[in-house]
Amino acid sequence: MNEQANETLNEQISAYVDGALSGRELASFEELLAANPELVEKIEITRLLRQTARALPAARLPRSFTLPPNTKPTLSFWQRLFGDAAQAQKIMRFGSAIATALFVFFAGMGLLNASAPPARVALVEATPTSTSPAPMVMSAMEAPAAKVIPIPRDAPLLGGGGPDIGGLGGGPPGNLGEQIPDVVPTNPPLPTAIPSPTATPTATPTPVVSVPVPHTASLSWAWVAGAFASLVAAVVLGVLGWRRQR
Amino acid sequence: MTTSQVALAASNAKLIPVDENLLITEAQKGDVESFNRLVTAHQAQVYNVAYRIMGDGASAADVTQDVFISVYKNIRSFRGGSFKHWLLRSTTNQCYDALRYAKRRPATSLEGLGAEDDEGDGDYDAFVAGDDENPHAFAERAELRHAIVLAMNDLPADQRIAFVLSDVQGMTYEEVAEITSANLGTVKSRLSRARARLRERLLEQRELLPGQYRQTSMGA
Repeated sequence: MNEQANETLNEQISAYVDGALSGRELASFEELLAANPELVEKIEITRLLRQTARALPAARLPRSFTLPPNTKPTLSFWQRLFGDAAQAQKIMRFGSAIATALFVFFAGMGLLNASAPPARVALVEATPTSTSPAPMVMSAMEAPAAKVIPIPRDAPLLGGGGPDIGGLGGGPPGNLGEQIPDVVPTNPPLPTAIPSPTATPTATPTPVVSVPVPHTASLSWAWVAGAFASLVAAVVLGVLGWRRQR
Repeated sequence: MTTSQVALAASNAKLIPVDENLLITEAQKGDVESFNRLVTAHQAQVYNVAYRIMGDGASAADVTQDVFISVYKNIRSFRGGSFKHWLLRSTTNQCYDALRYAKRRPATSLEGLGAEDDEGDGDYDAFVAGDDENPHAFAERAELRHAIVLAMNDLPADQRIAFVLSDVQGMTYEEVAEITSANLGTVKSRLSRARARLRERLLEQRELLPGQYRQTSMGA
């Protein structure tokens, strides 16, 4: 008989002696018993073992194990802090309620702040000569009027002006590429580019794109931190109070 | 004075049994007297369980003392349920620790040298033969008991604890499972292994078995 089968048989013998075999298991085991008379001896010995163990005499106490009357109680942290357990529970519940109210306040203020209309716009300056323009985001108040590019005195002027004064803006399109190949931006102009109003006609116009700033940028971290801290406090105090109640 | 303290004082005056929950509540507030009443109510069982698991009186006394000190320190963490089971869980845990320590640092108890077997600390009334028992049968019974106790001490700790709680203390599988923090299947398995080992030991010493078992063995 292998070890697993032997173990199963031992469990069945143990359960049979305890009367813990259910109807079908019992019938099956009794069939096994009828076929294996040596099992009867094992069961009888197990019963004897159980009876003898149950009848073992109770040991006499060598002494009393009571604690000396002056034994100091070991108070928990909360008991040292709050005293009575019931009082501690009340304080925790009250603290949890306060923290919940704070959470609502902080979360509400944070949401109000976030939902206010954005007072800022971002300007993206497209650098005409750059192969990989890096957009610059800043508020309208902070943005410089325009980037003025110095132009040599004898260079042909762009924009405005007719051909009789040397301006290229009004000339035929065919002349543009021939006369100033390096000044014309190689990148295609952005569709929403607008020239800066303060740019002089002689300067190369710098396209500026206005982009709405996402609302999250205006969320104050102080509100978020306050809401998070009060939520944690509410949960911790609530759980502690609930555990004390149990 | 709280209501529970008033009830305790009244019970002390009239010597009436007090609700265990009341004593626990007072003990949780640090009342040593209430705790000592709990100790008095449970110390015999705790000591007996420790005695059967540890196998000698000195170790059992040490374990019992440690159990009550530990329970007093941690009584605030008691969340209701059976206080007896909670105490016995602490007892079996302390026994595990003591057995592990004894395994690492084996030593012979001076107290144990004097006593030839476990019955040295026991209740001697249990060893007096009854009116209907002849001296021969009484001696046989004592020898069998002695053999079982010796064999119990050779069991692994988990099997010994399951056997002591179930067969010596007469607890159900469910109670043993709760005390040892094991599931029912584990308890049944440990118990069946313990019984099988003890049974094998007894079958090796058939001369200790009562007459009818010796006849069976001869027939087999």
